[in-house]
Amino acid sequence: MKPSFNYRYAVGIVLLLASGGVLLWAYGRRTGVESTVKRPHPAEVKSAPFFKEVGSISGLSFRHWCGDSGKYFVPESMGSGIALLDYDRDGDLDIFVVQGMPLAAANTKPAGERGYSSTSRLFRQTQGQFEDVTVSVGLDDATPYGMGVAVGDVNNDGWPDLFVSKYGKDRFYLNHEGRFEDVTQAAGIDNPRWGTSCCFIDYDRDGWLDLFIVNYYDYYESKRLYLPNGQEDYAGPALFDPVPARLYRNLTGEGNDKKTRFKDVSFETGIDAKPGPGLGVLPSDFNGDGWIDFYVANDGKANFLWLNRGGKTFADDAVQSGAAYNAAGVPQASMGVTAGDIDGDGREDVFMTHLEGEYSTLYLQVAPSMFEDRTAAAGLATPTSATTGFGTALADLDLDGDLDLVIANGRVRRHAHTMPTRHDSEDFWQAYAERNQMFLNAGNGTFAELAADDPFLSQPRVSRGLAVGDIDNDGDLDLVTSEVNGPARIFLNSAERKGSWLMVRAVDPRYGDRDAYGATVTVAAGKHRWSREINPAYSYLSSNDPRAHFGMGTESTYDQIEVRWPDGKREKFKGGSAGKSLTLRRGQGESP
Amino acid sequence: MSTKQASHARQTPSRDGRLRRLLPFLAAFAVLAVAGNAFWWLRRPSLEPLPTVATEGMTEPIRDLIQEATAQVNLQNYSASTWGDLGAVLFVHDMHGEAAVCLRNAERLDPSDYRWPYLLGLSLRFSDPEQTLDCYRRAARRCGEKAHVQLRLAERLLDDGELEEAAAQIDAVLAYAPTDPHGEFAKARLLFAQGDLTQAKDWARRSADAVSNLRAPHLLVAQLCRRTQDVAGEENALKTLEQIPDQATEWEDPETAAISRLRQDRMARLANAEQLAKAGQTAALKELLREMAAGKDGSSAAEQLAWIYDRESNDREAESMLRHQLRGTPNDERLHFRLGIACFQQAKFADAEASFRRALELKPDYVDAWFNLSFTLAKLGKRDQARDAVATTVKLSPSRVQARLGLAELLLTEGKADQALVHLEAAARLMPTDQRIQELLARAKASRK
Repeated sequence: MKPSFNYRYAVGIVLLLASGGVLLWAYGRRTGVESTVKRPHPAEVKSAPFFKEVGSISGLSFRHWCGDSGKYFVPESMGSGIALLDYDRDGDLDIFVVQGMPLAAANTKPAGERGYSSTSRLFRQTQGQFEDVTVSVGLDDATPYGMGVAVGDVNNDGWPDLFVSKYGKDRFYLNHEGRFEDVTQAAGIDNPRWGTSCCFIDYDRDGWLDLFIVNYYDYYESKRLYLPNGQEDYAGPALFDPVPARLYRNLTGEGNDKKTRFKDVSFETGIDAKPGPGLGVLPSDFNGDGWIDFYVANDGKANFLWLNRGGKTFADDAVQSGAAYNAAGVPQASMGVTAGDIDGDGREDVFMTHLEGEYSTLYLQVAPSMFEDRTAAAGLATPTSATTGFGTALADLDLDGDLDLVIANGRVRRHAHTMPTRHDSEDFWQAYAERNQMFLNAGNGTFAELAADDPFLSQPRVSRGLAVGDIDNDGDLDLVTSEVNGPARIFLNSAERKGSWLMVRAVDPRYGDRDAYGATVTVAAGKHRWSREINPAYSYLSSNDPRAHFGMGTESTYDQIEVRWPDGKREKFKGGSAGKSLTLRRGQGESP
Repeated sequence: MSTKQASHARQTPSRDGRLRRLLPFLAAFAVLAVAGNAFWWLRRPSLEPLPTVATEGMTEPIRDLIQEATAQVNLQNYSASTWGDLGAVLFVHDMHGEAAVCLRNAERLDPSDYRWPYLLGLSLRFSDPEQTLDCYRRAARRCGEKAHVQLRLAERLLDDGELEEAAAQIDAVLAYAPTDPHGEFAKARLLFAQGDLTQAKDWARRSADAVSNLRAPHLLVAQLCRRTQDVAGEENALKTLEQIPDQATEWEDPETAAISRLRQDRMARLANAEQLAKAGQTAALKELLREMAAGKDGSSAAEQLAWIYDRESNDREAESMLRHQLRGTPNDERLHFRLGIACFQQAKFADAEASFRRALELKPDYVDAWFNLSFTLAKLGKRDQARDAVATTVKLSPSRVQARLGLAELLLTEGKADQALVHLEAAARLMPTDQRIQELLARAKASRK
């Protein structure tokens, strides 16, 4: 008899195989990683190059030296500043670059022939060519360790004077018709701390420029940072106690002899009350009461907004005004700071650069001295989160009528996976290099990062200082940068122009025709109104072109210019054609 | 075979027959098992190679920890938890790039565990902010009801201006944890970003009321009170903030808290030292500090050890330890300063002066050294120099009340009441109710008459 086929067994086997198959399929699904959601990239704009680098052709030959101590001496990593000033009053901008470690002052000498500049240098411009006049004008200074620079005419003689902050003894130079005299001691300026960014501004409206110096922290060279991986790197502010800034009141006008002298009024004005690891400063009238306030960018701690109380005392209002921390209530490592009316509402907004891992923050001024962190809405959060920014500026680079943004980047800690090389080797600082960035304003306060094969953007560098000005007097704004152990570079603006321009200098003949720091210049053209402040003090450790620059977009004429002078008085000046530079003198306009 | 036997045979199949019937099932099972393994072998995730971690230069505890975790990975190469453990060790020791490799492997091996993408996101936050967000998203999808994970994502979305998605996360948390203060704070931030200041203030207040030791909610309350012209609210918030340390900025995160216990670097060891000090375990503390003082960057440990000896009034031991330490690091300004204190306490004033001056050569703006030098010089009868030293202290630190008082007293003994008054009035501004200041003020005013 033939054996019969047992269907029950067959069905059982099939069911078993099927259930096994189902199990395998389900298991197999779990062994992969879910595909990541790809977010659209932040906005980018492709463009032809905006700048051409002309440093070496032009004669600007400066190379910063950090000293290469081999001991991760923190001031080495901070870089130094640049000033754009017309020291000889010949109508074009000259360039002063601060040296970190003067060659004569170091115990060790630099290795190799890398052409480090011996001291800070002043380069006089003559029609686009720069000549080193440092020694002939008396600015040869062999004391370390240079950091920031401020420019201002402190004795109202019409000649801009110079202050250099240091980790060490600061230097203050009076300009005697193109020759400088070191009057630091005689003038009574003796900041005993590590000075960084600084500015001249008339905080008490007595007609004489006072001096504000931001100090960093109480540094101990013996406190070193050893990473868990056994390597050493530059220590940060978390290891040290912050120290207060210093405010020096200009007493030159109070004596019969008109001798230039200052008095430290930090304690009596309340500036001494709050220490902070300060790196940036921005003087401006933030609450619109006619008195200049100070915004101080602190590294890793709350920023300060020192509101001026009638020229007598200051009180910090940053917390309540929303400008102390980011939107999450966390302090950020603030370095450079700049301001400008980004959204055209007539109020100065503030932008600050920060460390990698923290976005650089845009504080929109939504009401007088009320700020909101609107970085994300402006499209700046993601593109600035992975870089470490220092010098920065809001400037209309393409003349389309709105403010664009530039940032000079460079790390303070080595890139991950890089091992340190010898301090004095060529490639030591390569581990800290990053590309600079530029963002174009879309006209509504949102920004798109510029992607261009541009000398300012394309090469990774350890950039620090950034100064902005119309170096070639052609109506657009140019840049000068400084680098750690690197050259100072000039980037002339060669972008396609999207509009016309106006350059305005506002001076006060009562004070030797000096630039009226603290004045606000407003240009009205058609339905547009643009405001700029006369203030060279922004960015990082640097001093910029003191003139007010306006990109006017499609407007080829302007209807009028209004100047609000530092003491609150307003004057109107007649309209005219765009495309020129003007000097407006107090008293030559009309009352509004 | 009989009928009965035949019937029995039909009713009770033979053993052979049972085996024959089982065989197909066994065969099927065997096929399944082989197929399953083959399938798993072919479909297993490919892993990134073990990252190379250069351990020379590391301290022994960190090196041992990393080597141990690495050995576990080598033993169980397809275990998510061994990769995750190694990733955690590297993460807490700031080797974020290497940690990211391990955490990605852990996630590949066990995509259901939220911890791996969460820690991966944290390790990438400095170098790749876009990937960080994706990681947080994955973690939030898998974590169930883990508020800290969802809220980290929410706050990152708020930073990026992605309000809708942030709202979804925040509302999800508040649905199962309606009184979570971090959730309340995130809700406040969301409402603020949406322009609803009144509601934002309410939520910020709820959060602030629940956390008295964290700055963020109180900061937000202060800001919102200013914006809504709530003067009293603003003042209260600012008063509260004065009591909360600057560094109190991080919300509770069980993930990072758990792995931070793995940390073995110098900072963690110094934190251990602080714990020992708080617990009064002085002997263990001193031993730990002695061990650390012998290593790289021993200065901080030596300084702390000197401070302990000072508290115990064991100045001879402090002096001996510091002199020994300074032989290895002769330019350590802090140790010279501490040596000055140890010598002063033993009335060795000349030695103290030398040590303070050496500290000042190394660091000319050393406020404490100037201050202590002034006392030392006074003891040595060098009054003019003592006055100059305390005047320098005041110049460096104008708000230092004790320096102002010290200078004022010296000036009064020299008959310089006017100058003394300047400093006493400054001191009175800083401490208006201090008795001693008031007495000295009265004395100074009297001597002017």
